[in-house]
Amino acid sequence: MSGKLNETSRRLFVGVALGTAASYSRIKGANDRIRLGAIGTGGRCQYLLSLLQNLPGNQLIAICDIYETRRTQARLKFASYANEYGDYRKLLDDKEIDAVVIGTPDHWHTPIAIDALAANKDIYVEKPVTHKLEEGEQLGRAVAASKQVVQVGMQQRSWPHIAEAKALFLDTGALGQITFIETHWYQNYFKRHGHYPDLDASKINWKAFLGSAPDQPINPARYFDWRSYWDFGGGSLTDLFTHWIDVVHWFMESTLPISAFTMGAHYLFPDRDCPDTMNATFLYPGNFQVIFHTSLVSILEGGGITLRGTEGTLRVERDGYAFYAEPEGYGETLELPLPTRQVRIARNDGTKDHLQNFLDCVRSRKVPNAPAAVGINAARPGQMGNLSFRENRLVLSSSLNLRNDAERGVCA
Amino acid sequence: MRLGTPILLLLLCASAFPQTATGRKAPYFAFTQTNAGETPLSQYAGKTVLLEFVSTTCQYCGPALQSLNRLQEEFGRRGLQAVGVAVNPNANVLVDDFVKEQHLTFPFGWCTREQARKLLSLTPSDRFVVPQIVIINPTGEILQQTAPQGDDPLRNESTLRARLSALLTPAAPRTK
Repeated sequence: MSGKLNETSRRLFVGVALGTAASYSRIKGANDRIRLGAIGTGGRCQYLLSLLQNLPGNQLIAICDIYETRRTQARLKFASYANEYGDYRKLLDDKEIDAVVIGTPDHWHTPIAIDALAANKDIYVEKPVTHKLEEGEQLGRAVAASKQVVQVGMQQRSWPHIAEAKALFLDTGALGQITFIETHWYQNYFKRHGHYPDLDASKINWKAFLGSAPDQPINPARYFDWRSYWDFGGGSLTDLFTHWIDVVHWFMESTLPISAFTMGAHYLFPDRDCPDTMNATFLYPGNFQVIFHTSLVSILEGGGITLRGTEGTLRVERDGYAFYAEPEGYGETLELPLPTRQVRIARNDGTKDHLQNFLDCVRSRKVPNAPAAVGINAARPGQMGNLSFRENRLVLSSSLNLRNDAERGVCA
Repeated sequence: MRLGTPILLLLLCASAFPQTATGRKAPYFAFTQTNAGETPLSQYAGKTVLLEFVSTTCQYCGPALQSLNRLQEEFGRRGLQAVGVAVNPNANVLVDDFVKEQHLTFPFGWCTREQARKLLSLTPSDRFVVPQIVIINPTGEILQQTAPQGDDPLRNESTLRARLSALLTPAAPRTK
């Protein structure tokens, strides 16, 4: 077993190294700078812009946000010469812009992406790419009708160690028959709850922030913690679980669960829409189940995923992976056996690689690592899980009439 | 110049021209069938093989295999052998039901993605979507294969039909 892995591993590393170097030789106009516009320049988008600043061949020339304070903050941080816009449609009208980075709250992702496609812009859009289940078909249709490059912020797809884990243990069948996949994400939001920066009502276009949401008064909690409110986000299932379920889809070659069932509660934050404590179960075609645990207390173990097969167990984290060949003896102990193979990486964020992949594909016009179809499929299980929680019922995908034209007849 | 530099350059050049060009000899490849066990592709020597790598969990693969059903029916007498191989995890326990659901009329089995990559001449870091289609001539040379990612006209049934029609000699008329 170990000899086989070593041989595969060597080939994999050679392949990765050569692939990266060779990609530059295929890029058309590699010296041309890609001119970017940023839409929704809050915390996450500013992080993306900080990474892009350190990647060659791109230039931020326009910034859009409905909150002037953040818009100006982003301009001063990343491109003092950039044009500022309060309306993203005006930014999309700028013919100088090749591609846009969309980092708005979730409920704006799909509408802006569709408008950006119509304006012939390439797109890097944060996850979840859709806010509602029905948006998947709308976005898929728009993507299928365009020739633009769309990369969704499912950065696990560009993380080299996760790709390596797939190649070594999924693609070789080393795990045997996989029936059970556990995912979790634990974050402690309790300490920071209710502490928001000042929100200057005179500088925010609240109506534009609301978009498709029902009219409601300005509320700092809903602005700064928008992920916790159904009008703008979807809580842990669409914010965090979407990352791991995308890895499941990628590893297991699946796109949609058969069913979803969620139990959740507001033990900590009764003022929020989305539950702070939750378990969700998903049954997939392909003879396996996925569960997701999340709570907003106790950060021990953070986020991770464990695949259990008849021949072994694979744990994947953002800073590495560990494969355990099935032990000979059963044990009930705090200490795990030594892994058969373990890889740890120094830099635990694949977002930079993911942005680089996007820039490469803008030049080469190739399919990026996480195209729209991948993002649409990754958003759906969490949305089904939220539907289950909100309606307290088992949700069957067959009853939802879901389509995804973005795939254009292939499964990634 | 250090010894490593020319070796690296050589490797980079090799990578710039991946060995996925058509006309190459297909490497040894075998897939597994529930009833027939390990089935080497060489078993179909003398026939034109239309091989399709799929996933039993991919919504597009069923319809693609229905195309193979039709093409096998249409071109079987002219020397076509359609073969389907599932590459998804757990395929070994899924193919039997899948074959029944899809009413497949040609050999269908499973292999690992790693095995498929070898036949497709892709490296472990190369990503490929399914379905992947490969046409192999009667002497075991790969005549055509789909692009690993993105659109490819070969996934269109009418394109495949035209290609096969041009490749295969017309069948002799049936005698009474």
